[in-house]
Amino acid sequence: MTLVSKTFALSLLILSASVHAEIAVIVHAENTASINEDDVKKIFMGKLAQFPDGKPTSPVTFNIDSSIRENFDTGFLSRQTHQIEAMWSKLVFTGKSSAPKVVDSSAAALEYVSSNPNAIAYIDAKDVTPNVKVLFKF
Amino acid sequence: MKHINEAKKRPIDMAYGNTIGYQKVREVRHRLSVCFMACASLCWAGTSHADSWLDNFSYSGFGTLSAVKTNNQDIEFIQNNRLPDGAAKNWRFDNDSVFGLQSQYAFSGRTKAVVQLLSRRNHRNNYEPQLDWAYVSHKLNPNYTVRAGRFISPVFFASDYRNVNYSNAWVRPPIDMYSQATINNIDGADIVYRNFYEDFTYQLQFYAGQYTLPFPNGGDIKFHHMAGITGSVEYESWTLRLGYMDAKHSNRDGNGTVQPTGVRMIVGQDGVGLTLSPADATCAFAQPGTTCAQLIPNFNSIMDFVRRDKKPFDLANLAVVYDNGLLFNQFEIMHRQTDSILSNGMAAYNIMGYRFGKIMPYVSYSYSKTLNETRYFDVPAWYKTGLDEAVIDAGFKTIDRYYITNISNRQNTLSAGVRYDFYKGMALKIQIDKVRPLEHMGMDNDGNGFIRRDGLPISALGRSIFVSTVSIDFIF
Repeated sequence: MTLVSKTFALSLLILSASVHAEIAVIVHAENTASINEDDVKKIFMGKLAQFPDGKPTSPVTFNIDSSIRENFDTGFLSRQTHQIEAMWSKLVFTGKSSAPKVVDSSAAALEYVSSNPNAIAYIDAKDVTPNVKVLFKF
Repeated sequence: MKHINEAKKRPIDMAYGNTIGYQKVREVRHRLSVCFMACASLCWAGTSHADSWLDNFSYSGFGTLSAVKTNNQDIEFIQNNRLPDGAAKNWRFDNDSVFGLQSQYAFSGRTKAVVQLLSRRNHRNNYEPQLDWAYVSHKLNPNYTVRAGRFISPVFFASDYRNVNYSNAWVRPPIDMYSQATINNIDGADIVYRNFYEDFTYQLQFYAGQYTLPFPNGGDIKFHHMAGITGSVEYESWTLRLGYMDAKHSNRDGNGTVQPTGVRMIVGQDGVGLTLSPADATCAFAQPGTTCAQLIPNFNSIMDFVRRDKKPFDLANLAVVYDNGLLFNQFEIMHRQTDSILSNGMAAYNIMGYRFGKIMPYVSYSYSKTLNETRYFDVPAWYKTGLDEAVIDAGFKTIDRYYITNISNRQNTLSAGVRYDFYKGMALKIQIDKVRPLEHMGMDNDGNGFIRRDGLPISALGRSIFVSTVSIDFIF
């Protein structure tokens, strides 16, 4: 590999790192359900209210202004944040479901997930602790 | 094309002669108060068992501030047929504007009470908040939820959240379809089953209850029972929903008397008619002392058709939605069966939009028409001969058989709009509707969603009415 292409590859890497940091989807440490990416998407879009093992879900999301929220919604759910808000509004204002719990830090998400067996959240992958189980990273 | 004359207008007037007295209004308000107090008591009862009851309490809200106008000074647009007046050529803010406040109290992870107050201009021309949702729900397990109280009758795809415009692309639900059933609430109970199978998620809902819907003229429509089922399946970007409601309704005046009390028998062309009533001691143009039932053998069965007394109000509905995040398309079709002077009808719409980031332009087309039924009077030959002479003397042409037909209208709407999510929890929408009421079954009419203050029936104008709307929707 030439120096030019190495430099180019490196700059691409830096660029992608700056687009968004790696995000980890986490659940309670004792959650043994087999949860795939599609399940997670449905849970965070309000389409699925239970894990594959039948237990209810309690999703946790970030404040609407945060960059991790935008990265999760657009990068993983492939929706704009306002679309996600509109989808949940249909459930909230018909009483069918409560909106996801909103946090403003990884620490708050970790605290909720580690103490709630039904919780599912996403955080910056570098903030993950052994108290929670990582489903996958992206 | 013929213009409707006063005689032709009559069946329409009769069909919409929904009446209720202030006494009935007080009853409705009283019931709301009782309902609210019951919910408040439940919430209060919950507090005594909770250490930090505030943690279990949550609230949220939604609303729309909207400006609407038409392009005709004499044609007012109304968002729903319970509004006493609407917006004509000047911008008005009181058509689609709405504000809702919802509070929820979780007694436990499984049981909660939900109360939603909704304020929008109503049939009494004020903004008095009404209790739109007030129920207690209990989750039996992750799949089954039961609830009892007041909720929305889910007759159409978007019925549940038809007031939450932020949830929808449009500025308001398509008038052609959603005005076919003004029903909003139901007092009753339901059970919802939700589950998934591989990549499919699905839901079944059974509900039953009743409701009384007041109208501006003091009357009401009493839904004696409403019982229905909805089923929906979601797969990837697709949603399919089917719904059916079986209901019985009565159209009553302010005294609780079922309307109408007479029938307009069409005896000549251009809708020339006679009003006959079972209460008449002598039927018009008959021998003294001869009632209409004695004169016309099938008079009572025709009166039964005309009077909306415990008549069906059955709605069948199908919706197909595709939304991959960028492209959005929603199609819905419905059929209404009433077997009465209130026509059976059908309506459908399709709305399609494409998201460019926070901006989504969209177009929609909707269509509705009534499915007419005609009943013929079995009048004696001598009676018709005499009456035909009177028709000719009055300057009109005779017809072969005397009849009554139910409400007739037909309409299509082409809409274009844009939604701009300009701020968190807020969307700006601009929409232009080109609405075309059409002559139907030889009768001109004013279509759905309009009040004509002067001039020809709208369909007789031979051109479309343009409705312009600018609105801001919000949630919090």
